Amino acid sequence: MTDLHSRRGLIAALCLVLAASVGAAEQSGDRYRVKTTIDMKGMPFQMPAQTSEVCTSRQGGSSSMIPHDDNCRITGFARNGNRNTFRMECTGKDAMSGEGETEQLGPDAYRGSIRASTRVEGQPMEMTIRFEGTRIGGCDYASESPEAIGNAMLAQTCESQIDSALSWQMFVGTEATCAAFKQKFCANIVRQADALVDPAKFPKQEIGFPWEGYEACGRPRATILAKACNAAKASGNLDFIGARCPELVAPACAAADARTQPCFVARHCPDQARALAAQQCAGRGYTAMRASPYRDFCTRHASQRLGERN
Amino acid sequence: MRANASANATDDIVVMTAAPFALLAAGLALAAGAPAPLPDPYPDIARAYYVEIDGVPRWGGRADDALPIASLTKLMTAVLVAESGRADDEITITQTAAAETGTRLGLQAGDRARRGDLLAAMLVRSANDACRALADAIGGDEARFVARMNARAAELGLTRTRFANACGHDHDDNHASARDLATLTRTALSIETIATDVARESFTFSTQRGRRHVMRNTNALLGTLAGVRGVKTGWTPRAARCLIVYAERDGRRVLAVLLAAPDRWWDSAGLIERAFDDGDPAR
Repeated sequence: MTDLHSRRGLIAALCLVLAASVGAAEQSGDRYRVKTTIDMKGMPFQMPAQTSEVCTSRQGGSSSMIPHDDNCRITGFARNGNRNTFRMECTGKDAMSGEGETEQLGPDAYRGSIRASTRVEGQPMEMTIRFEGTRIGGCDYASESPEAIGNAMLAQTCESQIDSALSWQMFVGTEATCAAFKQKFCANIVRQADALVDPAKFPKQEIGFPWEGYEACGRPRATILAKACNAAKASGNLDFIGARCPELVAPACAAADARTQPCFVARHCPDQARALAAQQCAGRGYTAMRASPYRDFCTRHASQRLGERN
Repeated sequence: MRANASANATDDIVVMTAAPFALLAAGLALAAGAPAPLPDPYPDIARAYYVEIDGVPRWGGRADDALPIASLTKLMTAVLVAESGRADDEITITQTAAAETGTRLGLQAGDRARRGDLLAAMLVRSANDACRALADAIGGDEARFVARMNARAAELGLTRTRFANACGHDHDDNHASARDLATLTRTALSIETIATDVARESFTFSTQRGRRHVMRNTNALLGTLAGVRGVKTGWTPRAARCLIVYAERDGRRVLAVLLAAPDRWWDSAGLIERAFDDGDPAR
């Protein structure tokens, strides 16, 4: 019972700590419901008002007070008493630009307007965007500010590519957007590169293989191949040696047996193959080779010859 | 020989006129929906050939030329046999079947055999008497069976194919292109009983009169070249050595058709190796 009581006490205490930390986070900003109306000169009807919610900094407001689409950028946000001024530039389909201001009306409300110019069907048009914010509660400005949201999106993008050597330019180099993640990225890439020491894990096709990514993290192709070739030599993987380890081919040819390594001898040991083909394959019909231990070698040799004679 | 000389003369004319209008010809071919020309890296391997890897056309030489196809004809006969009736049905050997020439089992007129056994014998040994017995039984006579073969060819879109008999005897109107034969082979291999029969290295069956027939497959690549699953051989004086071969390795599939291939076995074995090696630097 005592034990149970003490556990309950601990859980209650933890809950209090968590609640306090959540409350503290919410204290950093104010959540406003913002009603926006747009007046366009010459427009015969009033566009319906739109409502959105924003999280603003408690420290004298922020550009997030201003309702705007993703294609718009707020610049020059400046505070002067209970007023803020700014510029807005929107690009793309609904391109426009203008200047605006906000005014804090008290602890729970603000209002603002933007006078903007745009073009409709090629014709210039003036508009006024008016907005009114009413505080509806607190919010965690540290996580909801435009900067924080941008950073979170970037982090998410970087994390999604953290295992992809092909994306190395995102992490390494002067223009790397995920430079802060370089250490984690390279740890993953080095692990991948080091696994390539096993020839069996090597890709069959090198086209599109991310050698640059490995090199960017300190594992150049030559280093990786040198280790893999040593492993291939130790395990007798002649196919790998033939394809990727030219310096090991000659000694491997000297030791190879065409009866057990027909592909390697036919393809990579031309002198031995020529002599052996003259001895074991030349002038013999395919059907006569059914029981020959050199049948596979002769088939491989036929494949080589087919390529050479055409 | 005379036929060969004539074919060579025609080739010369094509070579002389093709170059100036190559682009025009290519454009017309595209406009007519003709298949795209294929790389032809092995022009000496056969009079015509066609190779597809994993179902994708890869190499070809004169792949759309209509040429004599000898016993490759029997693949269409097999398709029609497999599509009509049951394997256990018994078929009476006709006089015409017993009198067939070329490769034969020695079936006797009036004897009876299972349809499935005759189908296997036709595909494994390329037996003309088994082939003709099936055609007579299913078509009523060979002429009507051949009409069905041609109708089925049309259904499959085999525009360069024409059948004049059921078993592939030389005839001016018995021909196909290598590409058409690949299409026919895909259809044939989609039928389980055919896929099984063409992969048999040997086959044995007995007729109702108790005559036992033991045979080895005419396809020398079966059981000797890794991954080979059949399909069909052919030879006549006019068609020369022909072969359709299908192989699978590690999930990859190669289908090759060779018409008039002088060194049929070595070259087809080499060709299949090269097809599996295609794009594989580790080989």
